[in-house]
Amino acid sequence: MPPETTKERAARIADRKYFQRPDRLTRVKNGLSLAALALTLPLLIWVGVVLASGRGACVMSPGPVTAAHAPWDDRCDACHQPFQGIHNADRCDTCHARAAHFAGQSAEANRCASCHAEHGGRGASLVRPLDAACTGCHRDLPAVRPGVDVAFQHTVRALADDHTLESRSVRTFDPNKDRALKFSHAVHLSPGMALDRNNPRPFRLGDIADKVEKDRYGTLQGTTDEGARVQLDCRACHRLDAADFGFKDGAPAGVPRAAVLPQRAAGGNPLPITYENQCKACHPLTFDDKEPSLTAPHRAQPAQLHTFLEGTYAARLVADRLPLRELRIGADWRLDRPEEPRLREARKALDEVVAVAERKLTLSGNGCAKCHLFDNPEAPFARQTVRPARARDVWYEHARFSHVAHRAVSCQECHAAAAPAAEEAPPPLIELEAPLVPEVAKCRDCHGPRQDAGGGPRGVARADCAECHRYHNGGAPSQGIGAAARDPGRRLDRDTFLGGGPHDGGSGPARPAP
Amino acid sequence: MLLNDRSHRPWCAAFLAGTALAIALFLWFGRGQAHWPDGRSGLGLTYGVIAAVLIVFECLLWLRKRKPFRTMRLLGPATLWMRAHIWLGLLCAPLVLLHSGLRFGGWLTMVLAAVCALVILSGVTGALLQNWLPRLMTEQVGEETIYAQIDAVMSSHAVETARVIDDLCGLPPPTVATAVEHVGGGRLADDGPVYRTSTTQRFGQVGGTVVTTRPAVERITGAESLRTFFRDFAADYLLHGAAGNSPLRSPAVCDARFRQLLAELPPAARPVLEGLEQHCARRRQLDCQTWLHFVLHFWLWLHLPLSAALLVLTIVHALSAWRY
Repeated sequence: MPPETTKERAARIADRKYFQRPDRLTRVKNGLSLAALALTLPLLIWVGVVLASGRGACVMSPGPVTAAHAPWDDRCDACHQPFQGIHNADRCDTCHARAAHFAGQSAEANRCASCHAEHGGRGASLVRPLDAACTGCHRDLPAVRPGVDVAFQHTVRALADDHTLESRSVRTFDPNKDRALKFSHAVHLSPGMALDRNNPRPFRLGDIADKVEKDRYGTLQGTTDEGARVQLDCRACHRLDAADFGFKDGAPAGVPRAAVLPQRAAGGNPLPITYENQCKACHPLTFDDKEPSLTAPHRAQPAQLHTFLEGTYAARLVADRLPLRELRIGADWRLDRPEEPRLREARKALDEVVAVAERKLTLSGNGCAKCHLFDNPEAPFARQTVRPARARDVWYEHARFSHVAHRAVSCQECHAAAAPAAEEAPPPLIELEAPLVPEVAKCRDCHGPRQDAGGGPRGVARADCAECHRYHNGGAPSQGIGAAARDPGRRLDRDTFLGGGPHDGGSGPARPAP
Repeated sequence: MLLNDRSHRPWCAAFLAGTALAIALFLWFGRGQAHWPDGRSGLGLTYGVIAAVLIVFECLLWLRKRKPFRTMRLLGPATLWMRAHIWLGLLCAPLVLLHSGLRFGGWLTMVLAAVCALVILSGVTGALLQNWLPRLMTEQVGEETIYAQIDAVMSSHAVETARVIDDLCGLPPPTVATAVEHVGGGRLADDGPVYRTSTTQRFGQVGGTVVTTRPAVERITGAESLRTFFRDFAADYLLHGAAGNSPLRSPAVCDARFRQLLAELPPAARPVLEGLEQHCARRRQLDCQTWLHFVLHFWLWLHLPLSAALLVLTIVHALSAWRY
């Protein structure tokens, strides 16, 4: 048999190019790939159309909007107008005004979406921007806003990093200059308010004249024993909810309840201290030892008190001793005729008792001077002026603190200086107290990265800027979230509101200045 | 490409280091924040851009395997590309996850994330299968041949067997060879009196299919049942295997039929019957190879189409994110 040639040998394989043809698996794979491209490529074309026209782009939503904006989840034009990126054109002004962060801030620099990131899901928070939104400027403020002298810290990156320890309000507060009220927390938190533990005359429950108040404070310290020393604690004066004071009528007499003790208060800050609510029970403004039922009105300047005292004693004189009916009325219709000897005596007696009462109010433990400071203490009583009691309503002008959120923590954890230092030692009599506002170091005990220091693990509570700081109304820090500066340009009817606001090219007429 | 190969170690280390670094940065920038950094933050955007670049790179492997890039030495060895494909593809998973800020977005981003996850999962599945199945195939399929040539090889065996049986039983019409052609076999080649056959042989560590020749057999009386058996059952099984209708697909039935036939045939015809039985056993092994080959590659039915979709969706996502 002749030898087989290469060609003949190769001819045994009927299909020598089999490897160049795809097998069934490859054909299916290629077919599926083409199908996938056929399904998705129109999406790419559609995106091009959307980018060009802006129509039908709602399906491109990067996620559901927050619960607050849920009614407009499928109404892109409620926020995006014209339909562009929110950074270029938003319609937040329809419902919210852009309250400025600082005076003179331009609207361009105050874009809502720069900090408030939407489409984070129903449960997301719009008021929790990343720290970078703040530290972008505040890490080096002089470089960002050259020439602007701001009163607060210029460079800060994080609470746990280089945040200032004291708030500016605390740092700049001088008790001797800025305090207008004498008050010692340590004394008031000691049993019987005694400066000395051996004080033979501590303040006892029985010393509270008003029975209602006596019961109230007795209930607070869990006793009805009138001989028990009065022992106050923080909640005796500082409450977050008005109902906790236990007044049947909602407020003590003389207090405008709705203003001072509002119902269902937010609880962020303790309710205001009023003389009638927190002081009067132990410090009644009595001025006559013989008639302890006589009390002077609170919130009255000495001149007004002088008038009050004169009127009070004059009425008594008239009612008790002066035979007014016997007075002859002269031709000029005057009653205080100087020529009338009995009237002169009455005038003299009146001046004497008023002077005694004024001295009592000025100097005694229950008088005005017990708590208040006077601008001109050397002048006669009627010409003196009581300093306004409230020098600082808000300690954190650009931050916030919620007592409700921290209710599980003992008051002394943050306000340790308020309590007596030790039971054995007499409480210091510091009537012009330094602020009891804690330093930021105290916040860092809980807010910040986890740290296993002595005494157990600490930290991990939120420490982002927005946890404490506010942004809007920065130029008017006393304004709250309800400030008119945040109101929209115009109010909408329900249908327009739910329809995403008016689409007439504007969000309404200019808002009048608040 | 074996994953336990040493060459994978630096890639694995780089993947683990990259993942750890990405997570560490994510935790660092997210500490104390109300929500984790997502694609809107600088870090999240960086992760997204890196993931997009990696996705594009992963898709370039498809090009690398095609002309003219397939033979370009400048592009580096294909194994290097495959290692990069595996480990950089895996790195996409943490980057995409961290880019999302650990939350679901809109339907587009959800679909994108789901497709990405499926691509990675199918890829991991494929990588694992390709590490395990070839070894299994070597162990289970001694008769392994080129997948695309399985039908051709078995067709050749069927035709040669048909000729042997025709010689053994004479040539009454219709011939067995005609029957083979009828059920889909190849055409007969005129090889004269010598027939080719092939067996699997092993010499030490080396094993494989050896083509041998043997002379034509002489006619034997009483072997008609073999021709009938071949025409009715064996030819279909040799040509179509498990995809055909022959009862010989069942090993038990096959064994019983051959035992029965062995008892019926004259002793001189038994070598031909044994040869036929060997071909059936070979067909069974090649069926196994077909199945294993399918398992070895079917994940690509998911991986490749979804990769194509992922590439397009990534572009759509990038465009929409950039625009809005």
